Amino acid sequence: MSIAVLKAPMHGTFQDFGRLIGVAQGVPICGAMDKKLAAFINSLLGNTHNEVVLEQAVIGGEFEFRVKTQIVIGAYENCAFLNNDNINSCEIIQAEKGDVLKFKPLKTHRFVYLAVAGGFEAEQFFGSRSTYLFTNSGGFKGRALKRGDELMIKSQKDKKYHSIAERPTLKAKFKLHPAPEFEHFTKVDKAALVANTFEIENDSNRMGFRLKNIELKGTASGNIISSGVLPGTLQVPPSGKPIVLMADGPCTGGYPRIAIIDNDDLSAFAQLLPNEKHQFYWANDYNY
Amino acid sequence: MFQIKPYGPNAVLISFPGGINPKTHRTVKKVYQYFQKQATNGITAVIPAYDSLTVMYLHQKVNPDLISEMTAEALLSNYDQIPARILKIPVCYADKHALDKIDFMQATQLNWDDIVQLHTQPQYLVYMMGFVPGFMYLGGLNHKLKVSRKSVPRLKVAKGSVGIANEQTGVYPFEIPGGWQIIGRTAVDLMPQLKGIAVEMGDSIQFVPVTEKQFTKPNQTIKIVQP
Repeated sequence: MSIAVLKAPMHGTFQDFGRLIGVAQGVPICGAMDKKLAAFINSLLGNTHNEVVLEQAVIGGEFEFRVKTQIVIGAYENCAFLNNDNINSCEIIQAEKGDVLKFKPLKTHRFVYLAVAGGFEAEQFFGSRSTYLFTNSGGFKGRALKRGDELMIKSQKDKKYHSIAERPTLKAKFKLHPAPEFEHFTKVDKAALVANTFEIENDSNRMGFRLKNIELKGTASGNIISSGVLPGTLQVPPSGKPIVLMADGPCTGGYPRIAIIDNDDLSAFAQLLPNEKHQFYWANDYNY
Repeated sequence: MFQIKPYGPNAVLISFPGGINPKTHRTVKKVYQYFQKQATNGITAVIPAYDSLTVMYLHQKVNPDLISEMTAEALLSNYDQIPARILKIPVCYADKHALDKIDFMQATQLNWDDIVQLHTQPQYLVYMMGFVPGFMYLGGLNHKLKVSRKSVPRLKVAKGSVGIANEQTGVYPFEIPGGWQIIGRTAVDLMPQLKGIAVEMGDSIQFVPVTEKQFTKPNQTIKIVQP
């Protein structure tokens, strides 16, 4: 009941919907960066929406099936091959023992997922099977997948009916809500955030996405007394270049928080690649 | 008395006046302990900090006005009647682990025995946890031990290293890069865990000096002194 890793994916980690019970002790929420896509492909297979999936960044790995199983590739483009034949994303694929699954690099978004019927066996940490690389906790031995790893699949013996999750789409516009220090920023800053397009910096990762082309004046003090932060928060460090905290981001921070991305848009935001232009807008025509 | 600030559709920030001090901390702790018990009422998670609480909730059940009412109720509760427990953490201050001993003695103009004595004397208050899992923000460092962080941070600081930076002292819960002045090391595991002893905001911490021989003893744990 396993899948062998013939070639390691880029940043291949097991993720579910993450954990909330460790935030008071500094344990990040973690979980799939594109939770909507993970939920959708799980639901196609009859898994619970938050079942463990394999998340891979841009370049997927190469895998050999040691068992007959059903899989779904989670992507917004076709990027996978079974025994060198093109396969469709977001469709149930039957994999036979000995079949080889390969990926080509993604062109239009950042993360590609692999879900299997029944889900993967993974280690639990603070109530979730999501990998947290920083402390080597949860998921597959707390680390990214390597060549030679054997991924165990759970049996789907008591398959229940789970509703099919909504099919997600990529987005180019992202809704913002005010965050705690919103009132400390000038009108000019609040307008600047939505007036121009932005890009994602190259060094963005599961902890945070840095924004390019937006430079804010910031608040008068420039810092705050350390306080709890959430994924999707736009923090503004003294450089004036906002950082968006993502799934593996810290639970507390000391930079002023101007806005938070609507939870409904955060999955699509996580899929952004560098060198593309995107835009924010304020929710409810917020009067700044 | 307190302010509720919006933080997206599923959270708010409750903030209290007064900045970083034990009195504000006790208020935060009281409200934190109240909200921890509100899971069935739609509260999904709470992050306590120095003078604020970030409260996450299900927007179908909870809204900022309700949080305001709940906070007022929490302030009237008697959760702050529970006295803090004291956690004793063994620390070895031997040369081998006190990587910045020479610089530290020079900066403070104190001899090593005095430094160890001043560092192990107070009961430090865990104001909050965060930055990384298991990292304690401690208050109560003797001002004579105030030394600024290293000009060049280390790329790797060993798990359990005990350090000082300005008004703060603390322990690196696992190996990470860092710029604190390292004066000792503990063999106790401070990584947060669901079973066993884990440090929480509101605890009191006391460092207990141990010899190198005691430091190498396996399976060391935090000792709890109940008030």
